[in-house]
Amino acid sequence: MQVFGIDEPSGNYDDIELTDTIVTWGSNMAEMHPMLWARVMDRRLASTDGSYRVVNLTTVSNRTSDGADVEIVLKPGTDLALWNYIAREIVKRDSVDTEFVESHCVFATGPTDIGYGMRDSSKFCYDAEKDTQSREREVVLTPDEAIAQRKSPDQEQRVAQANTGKADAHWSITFDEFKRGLEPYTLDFVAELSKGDADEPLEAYKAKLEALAGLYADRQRKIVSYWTMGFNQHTRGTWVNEQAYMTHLLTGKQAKPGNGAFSLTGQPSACGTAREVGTFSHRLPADMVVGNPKHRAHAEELWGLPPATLNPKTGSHITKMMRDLEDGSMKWLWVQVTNPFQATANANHWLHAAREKDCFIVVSDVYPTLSCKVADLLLPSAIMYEKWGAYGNSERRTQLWRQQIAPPGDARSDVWQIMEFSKRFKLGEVWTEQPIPGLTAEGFEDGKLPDVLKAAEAKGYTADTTLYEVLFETEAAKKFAWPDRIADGHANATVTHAGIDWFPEKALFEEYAGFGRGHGHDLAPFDRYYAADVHGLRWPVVDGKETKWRFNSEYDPYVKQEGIEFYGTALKSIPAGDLDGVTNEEKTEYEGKAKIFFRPYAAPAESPDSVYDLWLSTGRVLEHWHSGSMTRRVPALHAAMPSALLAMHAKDADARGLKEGDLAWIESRRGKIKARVEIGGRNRLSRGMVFVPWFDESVFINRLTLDATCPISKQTDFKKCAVKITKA
Amino acid sequence: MMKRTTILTVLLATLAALTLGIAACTPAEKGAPEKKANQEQAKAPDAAPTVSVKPADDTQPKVEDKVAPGDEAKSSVGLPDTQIGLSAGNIFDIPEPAAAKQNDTEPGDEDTLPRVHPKSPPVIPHGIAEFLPITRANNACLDCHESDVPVPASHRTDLRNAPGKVGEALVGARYNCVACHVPRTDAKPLVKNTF
Repeated sequence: MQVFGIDEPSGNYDDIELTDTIVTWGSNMAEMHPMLWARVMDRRLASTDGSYRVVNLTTVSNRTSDGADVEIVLKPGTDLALWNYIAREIVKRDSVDTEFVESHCVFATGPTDIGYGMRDSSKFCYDAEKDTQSREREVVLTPDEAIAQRKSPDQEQRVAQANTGKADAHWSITFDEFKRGLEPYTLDFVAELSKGDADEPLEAYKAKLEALAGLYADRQRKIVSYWTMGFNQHTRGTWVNEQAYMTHLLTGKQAKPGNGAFSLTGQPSACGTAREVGTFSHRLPADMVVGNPKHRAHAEELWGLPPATLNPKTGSHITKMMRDLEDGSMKWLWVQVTNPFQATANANHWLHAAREKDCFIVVSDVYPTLSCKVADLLLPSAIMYEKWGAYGNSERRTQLWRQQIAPPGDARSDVWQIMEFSKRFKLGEVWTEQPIPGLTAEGFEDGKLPDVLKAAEAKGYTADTTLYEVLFETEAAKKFAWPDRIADGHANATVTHAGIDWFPEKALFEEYAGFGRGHGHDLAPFDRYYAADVHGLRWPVVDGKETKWRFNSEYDPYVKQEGIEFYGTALKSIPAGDLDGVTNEEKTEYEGKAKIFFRPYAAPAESPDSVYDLWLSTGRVLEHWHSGSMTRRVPALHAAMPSALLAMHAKDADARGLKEGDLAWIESRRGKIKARVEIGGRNRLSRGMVFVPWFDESVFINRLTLDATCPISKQTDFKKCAVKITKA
Repeated sequence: MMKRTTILTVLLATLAALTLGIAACTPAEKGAPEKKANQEQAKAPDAAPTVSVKPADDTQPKVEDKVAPGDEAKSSVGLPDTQIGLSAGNIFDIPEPAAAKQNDTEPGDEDTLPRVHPKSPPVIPHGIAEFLPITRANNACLDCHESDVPVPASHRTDLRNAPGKVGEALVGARYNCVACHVPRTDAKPLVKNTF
């Protein structure tokens, strides 16, 4: 959003076949995106002359490394420094696409003292956690960090984290300032800082970095950078995303076939279900945000709500919800389609909160998950084949499906559950004046939402009208009749269970699509997605045609001028300054431009020390999807990967008296669990680091992980914390 | 269709129990030691419910009418967390994961296992430790699976570029055998599967 002023990638999966170079950063594509990786391998194996190159940058030697031409093993968190080395080389080797940068980009930066998304108080910390938590308030820079931030490494650099509340602030800088920011990131400095395998010779590692910079700097070469959770689950996740765009924008290798920086996010979840649709605490559909009065007004209009109905106060993100449970400010939680008590870092706190605090937790799920174990009420739910639905994937492709079979027993679709819930609220209860502690917004009295009942009455509603009637069973929705010929003989359990004669899923889709049409997020009509010749469509879909590459006039109808135009409108008006801060508060509008951010190296929130002496990274395995609630019930998958293993280096195991298959204690400041040791499996660890996947509720690794987040994106860093390991 | 039978029963039972006003997963009193509460529940799952800290919302539909006759959901006993989910313990336990033995038989020693459904990739019936990793330069699986037990025609068809044409060699997109085919350990299924 900060770079382009509009969310979601420029390119698409076709880039795999069209490019010459694939660089994966923090993305074990071979296991996590196996079908895309199959395309990469297909293309690589066909390149008999080796001109198609695959480079894997990772902290763990993995199956993606096995297929790559070059593997670069990094120390956790040093990706930030490595990008700056590459950018510095691009400038030094005169590989900046000056015409592209001058026409389409502006340089920018932001504050560095932004904390780590931890709580600002140690009130709820275990004693052992307090030292890590204190870094939310004040950080003593490591010598490397000092150099990377143009400070002296010889003096103690104590930095108060003054901008935790304004982490997303940014301002324009000049190209000269940008270059000054890159200056410390020499090959020598970055190689020493970032080399992740202590057993790799420094010179060999340096040669790899130089070759990598050469791939990015080569004007003739097309290049795609892919990243997954190694970047996104990162205490500087927004920064490192921006650095990938920095490199591609500097070289003009963005928004063109075969060229681009691309976040390979979760297939059916992160992009389509969360970002596009706006199911975040701060977002509305189609990139709109809760904090923007114009966006709220637009949403109120589309949803048929009186003005000032929508609460302007941003709610809690997922990690904060857990903290809210613990501090007692959240009393009621309804979980659908996720397993947060297994999936959220620092889980011991939240399990105790769920059990001991005055709260009521509802879990809707298909399977009894770990979250069900702490729930007060379980609602059996329909799985995807048992309901109508849609999802969007990382390349902006929207796909819709029909219900295949009826949900068994009392299981109900999510739509049915929400509609049924909404019937229990009358406008007289919810649209009168409501206290909202902490609310301050223009046009609102502090701490309260106004009475909107009178305005609702003007729309023909009464105090006895239910939210169901206002939000779901509207005149517009009822026009989508059920049965519908698009069903083609397939049933709709939502309709059956609700006893209605209209088609809620189609009505909701069309209402949602109304947010994006005409605003660069156009979806096709509902029925179009069910045509036999359509296998999903990449939005924006304008005049029936999908958009393969955005911001490029050859492919994207939203581009008005010939060539490239970064037409996103958000966050385009910014003040000016230098690397240290704003020098001119007057805002300039950078219409049509993307931002090239300078972002420095910053050390992780927690690093190994003499007590907790190993890095812990967590992640996924091919066999299991996320918390394994479905895949662990598939006999073949369970037999292949029955429990999560503790992957470690043979020497680290040996030093602790451990061998393959032994039981070990893994302990962090936040908790401890037992796991069995694996040495030399699919994930080969460097000395000093261990890896444990999180799918297994019996090897509950999120009891140990740190709930630090990127202060801008609020996404948790599951990849970096410190642990100690002993023989069990 | 009823592949979720076992699980569903649990869900129904839980839903029914909770709806009847029995908070199943909650310790007797706020702040009470969970372990104790859970042990008590675990010991006496059939005892009359003593726990009712968080009564269910009266607005929730009564489930008993909807549950099929004879279903376990008729039970009025709440489920302790030890009886929910894939891990047997309560949420504060630290279990000891069982050791699983990888299949280390030689190719040809064991027959291929039956497939779960006709299009599922067969499970690898032999040990593969010595054949891994599959790298860009070397795929030891192909030593046998190009000749003795050759890959099927589907694996010699380039579905992306020439879907109707069966070629001579394995297509690149199928090169990473372990993306679809998994070996097995001796681990027993966690739940009964009726699919």
